[in-house]
Amino acid sequence: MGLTNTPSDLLPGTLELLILKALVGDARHGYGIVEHLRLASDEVLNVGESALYPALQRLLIKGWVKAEWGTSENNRRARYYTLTATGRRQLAAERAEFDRMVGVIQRVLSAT
Amino acid sequence: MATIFRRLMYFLRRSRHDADLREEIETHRALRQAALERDGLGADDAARVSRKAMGNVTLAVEDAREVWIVRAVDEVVQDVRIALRLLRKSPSFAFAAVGTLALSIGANTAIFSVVYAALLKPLPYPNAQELVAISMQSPSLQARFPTLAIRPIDFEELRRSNRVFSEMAAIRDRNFTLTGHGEPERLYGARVSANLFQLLGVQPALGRGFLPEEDAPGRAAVVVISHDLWNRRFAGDPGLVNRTLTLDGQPHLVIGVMPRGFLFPTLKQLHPQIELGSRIDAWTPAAFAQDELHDELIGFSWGSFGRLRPGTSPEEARANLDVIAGGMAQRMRAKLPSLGDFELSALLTPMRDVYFGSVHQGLVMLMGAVGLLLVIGCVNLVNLLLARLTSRSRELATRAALGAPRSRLVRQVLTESVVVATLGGVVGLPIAVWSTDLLVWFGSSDLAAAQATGLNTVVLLFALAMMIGAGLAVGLLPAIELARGRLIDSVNDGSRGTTTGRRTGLVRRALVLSEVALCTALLVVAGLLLRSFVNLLSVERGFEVERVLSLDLALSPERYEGPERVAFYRDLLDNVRALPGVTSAGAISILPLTPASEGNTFLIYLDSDTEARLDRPIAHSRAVTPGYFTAMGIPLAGGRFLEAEEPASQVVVSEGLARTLWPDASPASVVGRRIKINEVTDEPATIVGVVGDVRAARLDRDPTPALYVPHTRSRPRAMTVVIRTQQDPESLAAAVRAQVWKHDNSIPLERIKTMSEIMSASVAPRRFQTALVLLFAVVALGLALIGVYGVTSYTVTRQTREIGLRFALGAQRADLLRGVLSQHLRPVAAGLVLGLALAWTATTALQSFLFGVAPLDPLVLAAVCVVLGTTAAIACYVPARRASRLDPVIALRHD
Repeated sequence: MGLTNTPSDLLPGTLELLILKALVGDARHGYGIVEHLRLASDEVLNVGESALYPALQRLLIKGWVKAEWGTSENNRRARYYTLTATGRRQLAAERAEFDRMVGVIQRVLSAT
Repeated sequence: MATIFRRLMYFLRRSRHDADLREEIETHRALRQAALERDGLGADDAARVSRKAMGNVTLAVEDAREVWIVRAVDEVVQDVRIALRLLRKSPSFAFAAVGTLALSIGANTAIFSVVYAALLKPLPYPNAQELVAISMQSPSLQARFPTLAIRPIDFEELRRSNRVFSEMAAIRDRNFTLTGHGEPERLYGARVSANLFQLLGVQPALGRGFLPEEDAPGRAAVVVISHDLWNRRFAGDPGLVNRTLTLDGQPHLVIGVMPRGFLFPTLKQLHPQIELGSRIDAWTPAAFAQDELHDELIGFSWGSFGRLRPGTSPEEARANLDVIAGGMAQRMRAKLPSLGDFELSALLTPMRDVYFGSVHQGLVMLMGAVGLLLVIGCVNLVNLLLARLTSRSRELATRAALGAPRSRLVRQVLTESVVVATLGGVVGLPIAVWSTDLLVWFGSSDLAAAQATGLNTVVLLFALAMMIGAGLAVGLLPAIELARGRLIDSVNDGSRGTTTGRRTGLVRRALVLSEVALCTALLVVAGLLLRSFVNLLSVERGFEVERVLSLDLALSPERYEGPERVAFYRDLLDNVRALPGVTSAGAISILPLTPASEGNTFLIYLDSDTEARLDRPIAHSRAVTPGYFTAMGIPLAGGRFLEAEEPASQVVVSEGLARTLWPDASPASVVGRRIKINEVTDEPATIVGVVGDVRAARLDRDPTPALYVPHTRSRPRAMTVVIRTQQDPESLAAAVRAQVWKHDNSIPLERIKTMSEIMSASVAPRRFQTALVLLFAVVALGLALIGVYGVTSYTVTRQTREIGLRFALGAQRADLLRGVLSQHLRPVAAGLVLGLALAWTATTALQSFLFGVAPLDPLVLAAVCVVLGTTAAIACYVPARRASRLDPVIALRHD
């Protein structure tokens, strides 16, 4: 079962897109992002740490998110991620691209 | 850019970063555990499940950090490894590429280390930019004396009246004979103002400098000696200070020893008219004597240093000194109305130019020449790399097809060229060290002041910059070609073995063209320098150098009064003439082509002149003994040579001097006429003979008018004995030496030199430059030929199948050969033409290095065209011929 793994058939780049989306409006730590995605997807998406943290690092390098240390709900030090302005712009762009891709795929699938 | 910065920040703080990640992931696990507990699991179970679900934290951390490093650093490491492996696989390419760069980086570093030491490194004085040398200029004397040294009286006035210097010091040459400690030795020294060391900001390492009161005539003699003399002669004995040395027979108290490597002018660095020794052993106070502080038109023989007050610009200083000099000129005009419009102005020379002004231009030229070498080497490498990449195009295409991004391939090409350049640099550094030593050794007299040349941080940084720069420059063009996809054939390229694409062919031809052009320019410059040098050696000198020995002598003043000196030289020469193998012998006060040979000049007046005037000729005055002219092979043009017991009032003049005084008189008719030497009020002297002109000052300068007086007139202490021999002059050296010491064993003797040696030393700087530029040009030619050969041979190989096809279709071998040759010699010809144009623009800047040859010397231009044309043709012909001999059947199968 996909408890610790991102569904492997996710399109490349989709995880980053989902993370960016999860951070809209709220700063979240890693666990929070996983929980958010799980709940928002009706428990379909269960993102594993081994996929999540490298993805977060990639976003940090690109400067789309930034991280700050804070305190979690159980009083531990946790790193909270927020969207940067670039990240916000990127989200919009990625989202448009994603929609386009999905449209293309659907068109292909529905063609006879 | 920001991405690179963030990666770099990560790299610098990676342990901190890893700890952060670890903590973050542990938090994640704890949060999950808490959630599991909320779902009803026991604490232990929840911990176990959450841990299991997390997998290995370390692994997760590593996964996450891979994102940061692996691609950034590991890929570079990987690229370097690939580059090294590729180089190992083609050793001939590696050898050619690394060798080319090693040579050019080595040569550039060597020249740069000298340039740095001479032109860039701060001088070893505190606030050296405030230090200047002061001399005078007079428009009416400009043609004969570009600058004038200073009279003591002028120095005193400048020091008293100026408002721009915090200190001023006067300096002139003063040599001594040291006796009483083993063999007598000639010491080279200077008289200097007491404040000189303070002005320069360098204090004696041992003892003290001069006190102001010691700088006055009649005081007990004191001396400061050099570190070198202290070590050489006194084994570094610290007890030497406050002991007494016998200099010229007088006791001198040693008060100090200067530090090792103390920089002080030597030879003519201070002023062309002031002749210091090739090293300075001793300094004594200037202590102007009363008779030196006169106001006559003689005694312009002191140099002067000044330290500008902080914040004073050289222009301000010059303006201030000009006012004072104007006053001095006015007083001279008032005293001697015949001087006419005599004017004086000040000239300030920055301290660096005192030491390195004479080598500045030459060094810049060498730097340019050796820089061209590097450029040619790089162009060659670009060609090699391009060829290599083209032959790897299938591999590159495969990698591209398998998903390697093009940027990655580009990066790998750049890495490869930087790796080659780095290897070249590493191999080049020892070459640089070795050739720097060689440079300083060859150019020693001119570069002595550069001291401690060699590797240092700045030079190493220069080499490093050159390495990386060359690496990137070499890789750039291939990388661009690659990035544009021009080098990547499609995998199933069917066009192999035919003419390469128009563009790559064009690029290669352009590279050959530029290489040949630069090489041509360098060859032309080298050729012109070589011709200049040959001209110089074969110029009409006015004297002979074959089978002539010379020996410098200096008699100590307290043992020899005037008449005794005359007697000493007369007796010594009589004995020397009696030695078997000696044809003739004589002596002169200042030998031609020696460092002093521009000094001791006098105004020569006509007998009819009654007032001092500056438009009279200025002549080098030399005291000679009978036999000098014969020994040197200087011909007689009229009258007779000086004889033994010649009256002091009878002199010999050079043809040039006679011509200047009496433009229309023949040499013979000048005999018997009278001249006045130096002062219009002097007793006239009678000309008894006219001799040929001699290039006495420098071979590349026209002969200066010369006046020869009998040695009985000025009775010089120091003279140079010249001996003409029948056989090898060296074989007589020992006998001559023995003769001198038979007369007086307290006379210090330097090495006996042959006249050819002296002439050779006088042209050493020019020989040095010529040899280096020639060497660079030859190496450049070699590189350019390798380039031509490489491109031809590469193209021909690529065209093997096409050639086979053409043979099969009936093409003639000769046609094919002609085709290949014309295709590859065209860029060579174009490069040659462009190079000649380049050389033409360059030589206008090189005018001062040329002697007796026009910048567009047809012989040189023709020689360069022939040499380059023939060798390039051969470089093309070899591979072209190989192609024309191909067996069509094999050629067609060639892949």
